[in-house]
Amino acid sequence: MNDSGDRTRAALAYGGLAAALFAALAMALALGAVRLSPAEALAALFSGAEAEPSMAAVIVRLRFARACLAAAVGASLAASGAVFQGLFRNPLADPYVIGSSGGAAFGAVLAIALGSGAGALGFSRIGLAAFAGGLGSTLVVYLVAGATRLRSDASSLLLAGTALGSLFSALVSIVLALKDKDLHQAWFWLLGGFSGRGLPELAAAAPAMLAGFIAALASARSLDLLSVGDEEATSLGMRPVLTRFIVGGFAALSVSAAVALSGAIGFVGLVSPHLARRLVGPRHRRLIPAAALSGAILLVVADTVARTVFAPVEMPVGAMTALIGAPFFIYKIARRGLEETR
Amino acid sequence: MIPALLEARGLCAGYGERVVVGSASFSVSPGTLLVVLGPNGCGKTTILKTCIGLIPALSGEALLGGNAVAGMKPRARARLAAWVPQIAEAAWSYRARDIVAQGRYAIRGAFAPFDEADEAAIETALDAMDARTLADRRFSSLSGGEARRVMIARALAQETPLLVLDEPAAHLDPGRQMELMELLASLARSGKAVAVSVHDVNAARRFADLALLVGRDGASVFGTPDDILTQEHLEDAYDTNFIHGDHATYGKFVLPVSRKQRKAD
Repeated sequence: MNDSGDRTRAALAYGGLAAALFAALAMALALGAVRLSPAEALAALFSGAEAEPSMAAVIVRLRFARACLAAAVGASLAASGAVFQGLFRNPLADPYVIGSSGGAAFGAVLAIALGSGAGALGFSRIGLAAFAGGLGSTLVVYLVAGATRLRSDASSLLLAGTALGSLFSALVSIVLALKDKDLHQAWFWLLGGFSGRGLPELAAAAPAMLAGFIAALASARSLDLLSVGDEEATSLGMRPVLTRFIVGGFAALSVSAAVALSGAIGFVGLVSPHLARRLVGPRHRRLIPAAALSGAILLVVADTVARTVFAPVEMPVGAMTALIGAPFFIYKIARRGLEETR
Repeated sequence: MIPALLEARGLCAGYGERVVVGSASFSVSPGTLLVVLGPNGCGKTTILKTCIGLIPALSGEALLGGNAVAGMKPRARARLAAWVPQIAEAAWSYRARDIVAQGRYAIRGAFAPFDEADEAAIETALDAMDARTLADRRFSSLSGGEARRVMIARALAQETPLLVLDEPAAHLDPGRQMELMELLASLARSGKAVAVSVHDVNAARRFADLALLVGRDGASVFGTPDDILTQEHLEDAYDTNFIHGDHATYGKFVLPVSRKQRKAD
């Protein structure tokens, strides 16, 4: 296949993903307790700012804010997942591989247990605690990995991340055992969801998420080089260990912001990069945007299902991502294998 | 006399406490082909990696373009020396062309988009290794010999004055082996410095300008192939008896005949 054929295929893939995201958003606006047609929903969204907006307009704007949140979190988790898989040359790596979800969950649960108070910077106190916990655990993982002097720094980071993740989940269990009246609220943070969040929270998290995404795109060529291993990458002129720390740090920042918004939503960051790799190939400059689009689609659909299928009871969105994503993923993999791109 | 591009001065190579090669001194200038010979496990790979800074030297020093390799930044080093490892593996389903393109990192850096010079260097490298038909195949699906050609193409795309190759002839059929040695010799004639580890003593004698022979004990001798690949040195290094012959058209050659009883330590 020649280069222009390659480009055509990537353009088709991006076009398809953009159309799918648009369809998912339209569906998210239309579905719910008040059911609209997609056309009505879009009309209501763009109806302008009247003094007395119709009920449809109010509902659709709430749904729109929530869908934007889901799309942003999905994109952030998926792009970070692609980054961590590249950094560790490991198809099983996910956005939480260096411990940020465990730390964020611990931060959130601790804040819940200690009682809620005023937030800052547009975040609730719990959100801030989750953000701090996520970043803090990444820092600890870096320090541990840096101190171990194992020959392969990728392995030492992975091991430190896994160990710290287990430690945090133990701490979360202990806090919950001591403060069991907070169980339901904590449960939301552990599984993830978007209820009660809107555009102000998204605006607060956006800078960190955007920084992570830009850093991911900027590191695309370095991630490609890491595919041949640290020693060869060094011989080709890069610094694998330094790159892993810097790029991993930005990805952890983005993930911590996403977790502070919506809890630790699983699965989307693991599978979206694989689906994207199948569409546009392994080169990270194309993979990262395609993974972000895939993650946004998956999470918008999952959230729409989560809030409608058993309405008025809302399902945790983290459960929905796996419920929808896993069968689709298994079907795709079973049909052609993990590595095949077409 | 052309100044050496790569020079090892009493270079001790190994891992941690374990010295593999002790105090090797050798040099390669532009326009010359250096072969590194020695029995399995003697440290050919270790000494090659050490002299281009992929492993820190235990003692002594390696100079690349006149500067100590230990103090050089990876990218500056990668503009002088290209490395072709023995085992080639890439995660994910990269095409062979993507692997060759990695050679441009040292020149273009992490961020700048590729320009025409980059694309031209990639194509030239693919052509030189007769690898154009491999370019769009998945790298992981290539045979050992095909993958080797792609790896050498990547090193050529790096456009360095020094090429360092670790047993590139392994897994190649005799025809491809000759083709490879002729290519390396012609690269040397075109002005590059080439350092390559090989097992074929005859190919070494035939194509090399300089030879470094590493013994089992980590001691090494360096000089012209005629001075180094002598009966005494070879039997010492390999613990093997060789027949030395002189063919009317081929010239001098050796044939391994029998394993020597190893001397009691």
